Amino acid sequence: MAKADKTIKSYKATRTFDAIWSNLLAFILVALWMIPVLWIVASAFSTQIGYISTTFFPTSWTFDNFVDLFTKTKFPQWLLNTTIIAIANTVLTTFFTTITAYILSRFRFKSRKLLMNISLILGMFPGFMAMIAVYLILSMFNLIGSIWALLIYYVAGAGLGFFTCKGYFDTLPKDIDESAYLDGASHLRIFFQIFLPLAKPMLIYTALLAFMAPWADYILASLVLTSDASKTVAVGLYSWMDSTMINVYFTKFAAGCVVVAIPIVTLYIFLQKFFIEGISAGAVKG
Amino acid sequence: MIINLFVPGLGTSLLGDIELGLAYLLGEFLLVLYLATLGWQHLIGRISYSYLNLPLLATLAIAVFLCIYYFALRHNVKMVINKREGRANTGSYVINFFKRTALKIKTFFSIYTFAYHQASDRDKGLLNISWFILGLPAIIHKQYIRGIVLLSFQVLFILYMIARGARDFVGLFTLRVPGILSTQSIVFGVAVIILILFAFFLVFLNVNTTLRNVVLINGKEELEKTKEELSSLINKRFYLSALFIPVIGALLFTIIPLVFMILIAFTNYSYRVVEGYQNVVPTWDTYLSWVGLDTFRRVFSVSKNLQDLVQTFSWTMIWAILSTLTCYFGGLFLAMLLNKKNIKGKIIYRSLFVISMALPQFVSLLVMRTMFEDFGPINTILQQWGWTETFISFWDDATISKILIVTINMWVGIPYYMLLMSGLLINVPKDYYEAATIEGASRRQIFSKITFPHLLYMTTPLLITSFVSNINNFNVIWFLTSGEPSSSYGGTAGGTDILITWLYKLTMKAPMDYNFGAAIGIIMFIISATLSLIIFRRSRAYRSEEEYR
Repeated sequence: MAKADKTIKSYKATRTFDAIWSNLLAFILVALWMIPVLWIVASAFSTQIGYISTTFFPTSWTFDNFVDLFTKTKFPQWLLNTTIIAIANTVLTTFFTTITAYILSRFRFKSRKLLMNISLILGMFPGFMAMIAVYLILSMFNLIGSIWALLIYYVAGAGLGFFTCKGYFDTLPKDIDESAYLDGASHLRIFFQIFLPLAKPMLIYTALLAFMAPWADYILASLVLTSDASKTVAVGLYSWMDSTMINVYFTKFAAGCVVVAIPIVTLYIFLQKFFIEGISAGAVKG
Repeated sequence: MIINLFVPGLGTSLLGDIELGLAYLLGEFLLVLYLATLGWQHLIGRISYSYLNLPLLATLAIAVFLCIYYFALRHNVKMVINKREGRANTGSYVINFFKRTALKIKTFFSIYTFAYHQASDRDKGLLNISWFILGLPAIIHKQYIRGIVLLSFQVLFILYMIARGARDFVGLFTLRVPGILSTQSIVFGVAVIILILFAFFLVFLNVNTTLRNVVLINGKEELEKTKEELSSLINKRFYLSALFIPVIGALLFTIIPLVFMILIAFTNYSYRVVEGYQNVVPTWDTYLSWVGLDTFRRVFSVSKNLQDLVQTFSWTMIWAILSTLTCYFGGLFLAMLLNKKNIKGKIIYRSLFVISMALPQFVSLLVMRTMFEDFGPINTILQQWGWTETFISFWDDATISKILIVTINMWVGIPYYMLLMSGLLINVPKDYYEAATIEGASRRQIFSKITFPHLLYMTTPLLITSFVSNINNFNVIWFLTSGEPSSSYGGTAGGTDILITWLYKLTMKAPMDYNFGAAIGIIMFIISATLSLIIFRRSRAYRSEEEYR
């Protein structure tokens, strides 16, 4: 009896120790992850101008950076530009990516394998290797300096990003859409009314990525968007981090980052579940 | 068999697998050539450069040679055994391809002649015409939509070729068309060639559909009517309508630009003035010219360029391996930690980690860069706590920068893997765990014998694709260091530049060295294509696409 008691006791002790240790570790890790986030949020409320400070957190707090950001800089325009592209891109890119994936997953036609192999090879070239030619082509269409150039470029590339989607679609049962087809529904209707609802996690995942792209893209945007008014937030805010600007604009940059981050982070947190499903599907199907 | 022992590549070719044999042969030949001329001198130290570890290079060359030798030999032995046991070898892809194509052409013509002899005079005429005039046979067969589309394509094509197509086509070769920049000549020329290929395809299509109709008429069957044609576009041939825009988009903004850039590597288009190379920038009266492999010669024969290439290449590989592994195992660890039953507030923790993933990369990375700046908060704190006297210039030292880059990348990448792994951990069959617990396995044993093998099996494709995508990871390097500190020997690549950021600098920052950048891009493509090809041919997903049903 005594022996059993002892093992139970030591077992309990290990368990408590383990619980404390794991919780502590998790807490420390989260804290580590939060340091940059906290710093940028704090800087956004700082009364200082540059990033140089004697303390980690600002000594006095103010809301002026946000007010200045929206009244004295081009930031509202940038935000509007990016939002427009992001929303348009979400709709169009998601449509073209999913429909390409749907076709390649469900139809069997002659040049199908060839198309897939070509897109695979195209994906292996470093993307912006072709930027100069893209710039040339866009300038032939007289689109340089316009935000629509970005949108056209994103949407034009949408068809090539089908791999993750197709991998997911391949796992969905084929009988449902086949029987709908036999019942006389058109493919477009099957796609919108039966297939997409089935593939909801993937749909949301693709849409989320498409929505994120304009916020994060720097290379093409910096090349194409030459005038100050047509910039996206990524290009605009990056220009404030230039060594000649940073000492004046840093806290405004921080405020801008907070403004940009809030909606995106909210989206991510709420759509976390779909996101996990999307990336696991994409990862496993390669 | 004796040939195999000495030159296994030749043996592979003779046994029927021609391309692989030639690849082996080429590798062997190049390495032997290198070792015979320079390699042995490198090995014993007769030639030495300060920046390259030449003995190591020569040793590596020998190792690679032995590897190729071994693989070729193994391959040959396998093929011989297959032969002896009466199993067929796959043989040469190229020869198989030609064989298959020849067979297809033969069948096509036998059907064609057969149908031709049975056809009425009108249909004979139509079959003859179909080789020259698109759409006309279809119109006479009362398939108006197809006919009109094809016919108008042909009319437009001929008009276009007369108006400017022919000039553009010639312009691709001469690059000297008055009033058009040489670069535009290349773009137009590539477009014309694609258009011509498409026209050939349509001619074939035209003959083929005419033939099909004639066969149907011969068999006294009904032809497809206009109405059915229309409905087939939204039903049977739905894929044609749906893929139209994506294909056009890819052509215009991916394929033409890529071909353009590949071609640029063989021209003298560059803002950089280099002695011995006639680099020019096209204007209305200066034209580019084709220079063959000169640019590649510049990459490999100018010692600074070669040093840049070797340095960036090795750092790219180290970076890709380190960043993939740290994030993978970090994410796994974090997922396991947050998956424990005794952790409180899992959802909050997970959401907090998601923040770092959701932040646009330029935000988080630029913030990180500023934090490690000379007067940034990290230095401030270090000084206040009395750990250092003055600030540390983190970003001025290539080695410290590299360590920081990998560490900061963990901050960016681990949450992604954490989410992924926690998704996969749920999928590990529960009965394995139950069985293991009953058998009295320790937690470490459960992890190393059940969880990890399962995850590894599931994520091998991901590991490899993320390795390849890390080779091309532009954002992390560019936003953190922009490849700085600048080169210590006057090269164009900075201390922390990976191939892709170097490529960006070469083509986007002054002096824009376009042809050089394009050559580097081609080299990068060869690297990542080789890696991906090996991977995709081995991955389950590629081999057994249909099995997933």
